Amino acid sequence: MKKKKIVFNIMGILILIGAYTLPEPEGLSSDGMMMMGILVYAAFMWITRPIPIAATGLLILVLPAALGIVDSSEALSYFGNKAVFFLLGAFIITAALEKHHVHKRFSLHILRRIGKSPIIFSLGIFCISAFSSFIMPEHAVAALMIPIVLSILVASKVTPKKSNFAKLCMLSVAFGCSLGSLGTLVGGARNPVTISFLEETSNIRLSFFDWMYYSVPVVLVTLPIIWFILIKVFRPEIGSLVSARGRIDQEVKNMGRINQESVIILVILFMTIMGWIFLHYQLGPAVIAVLGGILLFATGVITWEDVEKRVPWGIILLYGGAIALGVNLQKTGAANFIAVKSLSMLGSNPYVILLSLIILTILLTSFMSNTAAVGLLLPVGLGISNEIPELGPVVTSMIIALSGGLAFILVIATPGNAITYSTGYYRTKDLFKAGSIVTIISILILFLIAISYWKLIGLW
Amino acid sequence: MFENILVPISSNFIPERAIERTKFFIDNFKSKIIFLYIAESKTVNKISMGSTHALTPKLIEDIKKEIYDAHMESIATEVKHKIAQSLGERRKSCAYSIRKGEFSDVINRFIDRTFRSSYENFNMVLLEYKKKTNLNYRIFDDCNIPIWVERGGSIKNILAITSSLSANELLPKYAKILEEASKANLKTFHYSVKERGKLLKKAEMDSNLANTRLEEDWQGVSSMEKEIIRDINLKDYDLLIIGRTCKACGFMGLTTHLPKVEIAKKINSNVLILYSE
Repeated sequence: MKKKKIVFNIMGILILIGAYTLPEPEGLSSDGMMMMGILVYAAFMWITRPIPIAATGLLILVLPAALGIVDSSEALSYFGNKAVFFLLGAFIITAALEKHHVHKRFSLHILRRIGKSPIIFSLGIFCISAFSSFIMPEHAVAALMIPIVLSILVASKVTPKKSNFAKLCMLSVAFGCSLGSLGTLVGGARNPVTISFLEETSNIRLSFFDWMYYSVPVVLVTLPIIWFILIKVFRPEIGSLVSARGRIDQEVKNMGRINQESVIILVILFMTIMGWIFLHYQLGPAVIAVLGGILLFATGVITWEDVEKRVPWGIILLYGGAIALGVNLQKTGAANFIAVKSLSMLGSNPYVILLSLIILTILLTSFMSNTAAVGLLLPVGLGISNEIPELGPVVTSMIIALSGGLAFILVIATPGNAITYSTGYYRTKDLFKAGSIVTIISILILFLIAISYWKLIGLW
Repeated sequence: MFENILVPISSNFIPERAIERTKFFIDNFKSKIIFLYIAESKTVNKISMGSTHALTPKLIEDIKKEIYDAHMESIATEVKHKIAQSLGERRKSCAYSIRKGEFSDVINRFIDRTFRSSYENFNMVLLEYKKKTNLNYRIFDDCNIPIWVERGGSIKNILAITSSLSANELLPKYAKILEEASKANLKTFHYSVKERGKLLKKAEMDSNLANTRLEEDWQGVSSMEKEIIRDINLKDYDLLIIGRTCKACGFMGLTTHLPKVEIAKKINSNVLILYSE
């Protein structure tokens, strides 16, 4: 094991020992103090990553039981949470889309029809990435878009790291996926984690449609502005995409006509989305997602081996851990304690608090998995909503969940950033340059929508 | 001396000056240039920085393959086209090879013949040093054949230096040949380490270089490379040739770390580093 990892592991254990031995401050129970220790420990482990982040998720699931804060059956019950099964179902559907190249076919057909202008082409890539993230997890969309964009860039004979067109295309994928992941429960794993957390702690049930009702305007307003920023920062140096169009035509030809399996997948996907929208309260999104997944097996378009290869099992452990952490912080009063302390610093102005929550979430999610960051902050947000009734739990939770998708500055911040960076077509300073402007604009848009549109529709 | 020259081209940047310099060697020494295009794994592996928890190993491998394939295709089109444009008819003296991996590791394995099939031994590596390319220039420490670090420009003044502690017998020969080929002015130095007022191992250097002409003595108190970086006014020279053997010994006979990368980093003229045995 590397020295650094050993040091980080030891430091992590010291955090837990510190929480166990230090006297608890006034207003916090000993269990609450221990949960605060676990919270700091989780944040530390997710940022420094001496063990895989999924393993940290598993650890924080069992630590409260090991330390006697909750009994073991309760601790492990969070792993059976609806969000976990919702994501499992969504991953199975995504695996089928990946296996039969349904997404690739769909993307190529759109790109084929949008003309030869590099600027319009980048808009196509940006919109496909964003709207695909409405029906598939953002990381899967980024992974599926990369081969398409790479083949276009190679055909365009652009120079890596020098070509503005290449930077524009790659960042359109990265930012498009991040932004699109805000739109539905499927795009970002933090979204179902958030609604599960709300249900577990406040008995508030948000449907698939409710989520879209609150979040889609954020996506629709931000999307053209981000694209405009991108084309201003990276004005394409090439005039026409004739050779790239030739490549797309060739790829479309190579794919041939749509096959039976792809049609079945599209029908099941459509049924699943309709189920999420119209049968949410009757069946729940998790049941619908799993049923959709099972239908794919029943129709023979996917096998268990395909799922084993394509589903990131580790991330499911992370979700279980993040939900358990949030609920335990809430139950032991630690979340309220953090909220009270935060409010004593920030004051009780709801606007200031909302803006602070957005900035804090973006800062945190830049250095760790966005699900983990949202998992850490949701209980704090809930505590704040208890102290300031004007800000209901839905408002604070939604603002944290949506901010969790706005990590545009660092390579490590999102899978989309890391995947596109690894192609070698842009430098970190390019990401920083465009990402900084985009982050500031996104913060403002989210804040303005939260204090205007959300108020208008009666969310708070 | 310059029969087979290896020019590594990383997918991270195209060393246009190094490509340009190959003309000099083709014209003057009839060198065979082997362009080694390296699909740089260090950048591709960055995918694991933010994604390992979200992507399956299969998906990561699939994406890496797509990226490598794109880089491989680039050499067949863009880079090869640029080389052809730059070299014209001289490109008949060139060969191409494509490998994926980490920059220094690929070059080393290529030179050691563990990574290639049909090339003769290489006489020199010609590369361009560039900061902020995310490349690992460990090759400077690992490589045991001469390395030419290209900075561009014509060669009118050459400075050749060797050290009394580990003199390189090849230095005068290289200096002379390059002087004639480029019709440049040559100045040669031998460097002696002075410790407590005494010159170290001067005699050894003299015997090694008995039949050569080294015009001037230069004395310093620390390693030759450090003194070069610190003291020599390199603006006056277009090419700096530094000669040493690899027998440089430090404490208890252990090989000392020679700051070759520092030379590449800090010196703005062309540098030929001869660290052969």
